[in-house]
Amino acid sequence: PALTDETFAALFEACRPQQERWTDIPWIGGLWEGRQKAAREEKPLFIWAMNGH
Amino acid sequence: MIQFVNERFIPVAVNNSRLQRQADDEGRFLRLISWQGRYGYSFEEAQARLEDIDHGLNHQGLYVVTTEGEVLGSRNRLFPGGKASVHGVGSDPDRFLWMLRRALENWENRKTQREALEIEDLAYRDPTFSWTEYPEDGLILHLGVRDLPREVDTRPSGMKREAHNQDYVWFRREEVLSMVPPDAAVGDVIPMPDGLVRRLVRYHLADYVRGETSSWPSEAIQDAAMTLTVTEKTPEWVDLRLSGSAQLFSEGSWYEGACRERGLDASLLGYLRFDLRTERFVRFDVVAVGSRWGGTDYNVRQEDLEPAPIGIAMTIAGQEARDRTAPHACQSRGSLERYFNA
Repeated sequence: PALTDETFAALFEACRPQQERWTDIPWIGGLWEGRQKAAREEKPLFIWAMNGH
Repeated sequence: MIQFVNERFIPVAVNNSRLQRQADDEGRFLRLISWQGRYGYSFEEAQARLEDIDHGLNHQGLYVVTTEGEVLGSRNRLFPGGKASVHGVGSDPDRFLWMLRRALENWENRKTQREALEIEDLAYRDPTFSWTEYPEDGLILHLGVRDLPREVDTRPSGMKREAHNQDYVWFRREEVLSMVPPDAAVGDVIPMPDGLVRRLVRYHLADYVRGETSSWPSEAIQDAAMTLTVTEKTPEWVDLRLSGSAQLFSEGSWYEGACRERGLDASLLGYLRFDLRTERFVRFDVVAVGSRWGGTDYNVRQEDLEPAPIGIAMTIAGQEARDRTAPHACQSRGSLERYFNA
């Protein structure tokens, strides 16, 4: 599509980064910190490891 | 499912690109898990491989484990020969939920972590990765990328039509200041500094829509230029309009030779506002639109090699922990230096 001052807003909204509902989970951002918390709370550790993040 | 995960597990989301190569206890813990959960080795066999940081293999996946590395469940398991059992770790929610429930059954019969433990802080962190390079006083953009509608659309429904992805763009403070000369006046047309153009083009005008791809090599840039036009100025701020274009082309061999070239022909447009008092951008909204063709081994374009429209949007990033994720191109040793010297 043509990228102009008139089409900018719609294309920006269509392409801007989206977050999934996965962000409703209180993810811990460090594997070691997660391991410490799992040890304290006696729960299994659920790890989502992906390239990048 | 989200409530189930919140109540029954300690959920962590981590950057595999670094962990799988980290020469420290955190990296070894990830590899202890992934050698078992992804590659099928026994606990003892996995332990024997912990020091190998040059394995050259991908360790990403979804794992449920005890704190001692006993694997209770996993997804993205590889079968012999290296063929993945699923495409993408989250592509089948029913099987994923089944794995979590099975892992909880295994938790009841676990051999390790039978009581509460206190684990000490990590005493040493592999310094070969850049942990402190996040440009605190610079400019961080959050980028989204997706396919745009097609007039003739032969893509199957599902992921291949709906996929989108994201990345982060980093600029250091001195680079931010280099974009806006102090004496800029309305009507001035300022060339975007060449190094910043090359960074945006090589690392961020990339087809990550369906999966990982490699950055453009320097010689892939056929043409690239961006300008900033001052559209308004007050004592407090300067408004700028970014416009530009980029043509990229690279030859290679992907999908076992089925694809011999990839390219992108894009135009860029953006609206920026620079706060003169704080010397920071308060708006940096940029869109790139163009035709992409070809693919690379891991971006799932093997049946979609012909030119088709792609859209990329960038805006100032938020302040969540995930917004400190490094650019995708900066996940390996030495890559950050290459990124800032594109």
